[in-house]
Amino acid sequence: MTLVEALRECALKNSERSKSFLYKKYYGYIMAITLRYVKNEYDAEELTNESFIRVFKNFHNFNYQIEEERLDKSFRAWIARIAVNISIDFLRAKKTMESLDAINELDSISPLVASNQTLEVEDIYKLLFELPDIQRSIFNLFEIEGYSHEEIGSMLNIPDSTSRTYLTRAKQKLRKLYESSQLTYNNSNHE
Amino acid sequence: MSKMGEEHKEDFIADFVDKIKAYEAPYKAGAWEEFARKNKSLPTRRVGNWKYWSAAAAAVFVAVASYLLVMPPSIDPGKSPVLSRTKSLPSTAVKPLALERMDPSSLDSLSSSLTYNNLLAAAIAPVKATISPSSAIFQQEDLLAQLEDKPLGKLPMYEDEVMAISLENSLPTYSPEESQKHARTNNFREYAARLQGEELNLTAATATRNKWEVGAFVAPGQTNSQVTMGGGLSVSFKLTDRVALRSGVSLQNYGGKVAGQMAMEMQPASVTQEMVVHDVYPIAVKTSSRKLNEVSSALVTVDIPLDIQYKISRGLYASLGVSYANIISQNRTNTYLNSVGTETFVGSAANNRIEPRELLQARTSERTNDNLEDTQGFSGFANFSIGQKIPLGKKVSIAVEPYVKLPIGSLKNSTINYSNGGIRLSTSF
Repeated sequence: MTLVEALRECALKNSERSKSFLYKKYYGYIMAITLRYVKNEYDAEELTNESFIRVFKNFHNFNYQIEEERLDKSFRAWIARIAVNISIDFLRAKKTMESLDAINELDSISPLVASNQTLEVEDIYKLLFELPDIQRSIFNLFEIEGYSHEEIGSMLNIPDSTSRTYLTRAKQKLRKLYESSQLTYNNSNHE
Repeated sequence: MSKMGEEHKEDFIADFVDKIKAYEAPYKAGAWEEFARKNKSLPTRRVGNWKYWSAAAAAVFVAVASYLLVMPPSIDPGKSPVLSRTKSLPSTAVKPLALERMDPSSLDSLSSSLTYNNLLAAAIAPVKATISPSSAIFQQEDLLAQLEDKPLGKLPMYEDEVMAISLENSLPTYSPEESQKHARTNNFREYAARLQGEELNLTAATATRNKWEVGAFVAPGQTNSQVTMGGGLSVSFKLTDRVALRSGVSLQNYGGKVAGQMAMEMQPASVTQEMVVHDVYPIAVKTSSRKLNEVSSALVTVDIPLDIQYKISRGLYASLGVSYANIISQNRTNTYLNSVGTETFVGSAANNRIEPRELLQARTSERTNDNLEDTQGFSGFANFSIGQKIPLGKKVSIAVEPYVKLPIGSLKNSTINYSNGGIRLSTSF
């Protein structure tokens, strides 16, 4: 089954076969998104499944009748937006977004397992999760998902300027975290 | 910090972003199976198609059945009646009217007094008396009052749940306490329990949506003399777990007849030529009689019922209510038994005797506009049924429902007994 066939069959028949194909094909993609927002893998799985539920229920909103070359990219963008919305909602519901001043943010820094040269995704995720939820969310939304500060402000119910501030802080902190982890890594290598 | 260092730092952010964008988590074995198991309630078009086809098939069946069974057979009064020759009757079997003593003027008066309407009225009178009294139409209010009227249970739900699914931010909202609790712990059991709770809530939300139930049905039945057929669509709304209101619209036919000799209509005797020539007593007189033998009626109605269903046990339910029957077509047919005989008189008036005669009988039917059902007032039925629902799927089920319908309103006062019963076969989805 190809992506085109699966999308068409899902839209027209909503068949289990097509849903299974799409779920398995894009599970990793959605999971990677939700893992950027929630640290707990179990939560991420649940958010991934929630995303797929919403994808299948709102499939009529997706226009699959476009060029085949653009189909995968278009579908990924659509389901990514759903997954991001769900993840943000989850975080918002937790009401554990950080207070505006993130003091003592550098109190605990986990040493990375690899150097800068070989920084793996797992290490990057570890760094990301050293950020407060709101900073991590804004970093993800702006740098990775490509939302503007106006859109982020609307999604998180914060002013645009606050979004910019948090993004700056997030980058600064990532930098410090990265340097600290490098320092730790170098010291451990010298010893 | 040197410019090179700054660039390196920005590069590291860019490297972060590139790697994150390119990353896809590995597929977890069994994830789809688990997802499919947990979300069986997700709608599938296959079920939808099945429902639509079922509804279409039911509609076609109803239309064909209505055409074949509901439309009354047309009777052409102009057609020759079927004649049957009866055996010769003994002379004592039928008492001849004293025609020999009648002059032509008295015969005329007899004829006028035995008009058709008078005879029909006389025939209907005893039939009216046999119609079921109103007291027999069940104590509907009493039965209604016995139905348990439980308050609608409040369904446990989170704030918006999955019901409010849209592309915008509308994921399930968790209470702060629960969210914090959840964030603090990774305890699998606790989290699994919460998920179970969510499943229950999802089921409850789905149940709320499923309070409405639409179905199609056919209802073959039988009055005291004719087969009836009906069918249509029904819709029910669940008031509580046990009580539901059901309505709908259906096309029904009802037929009935009253049989037996109801009246006799004498035709004037025709005096043979011999009587005139001899100027004495008639030698032979031809007589004919016309007996109203049967009155039949057929109605086609659009029924709009309002029933209360009470769930007795799993799948078993009882229903009672009333239905308004809008008569869209009706006809009434009178069937007559015509007898024609020739009587021969022998001798004078003092000792005349009647020779055995031959009697010809013929049955004729005439459509009449007399005594049609009243279409102005309320006409309807009191409905009683008990049914067994057999689930075929998560939402689709069929039900077998024996029913009894008793006429009320103007139909109750009709000469025809429209009481009927049968079995309703319905699908709901």
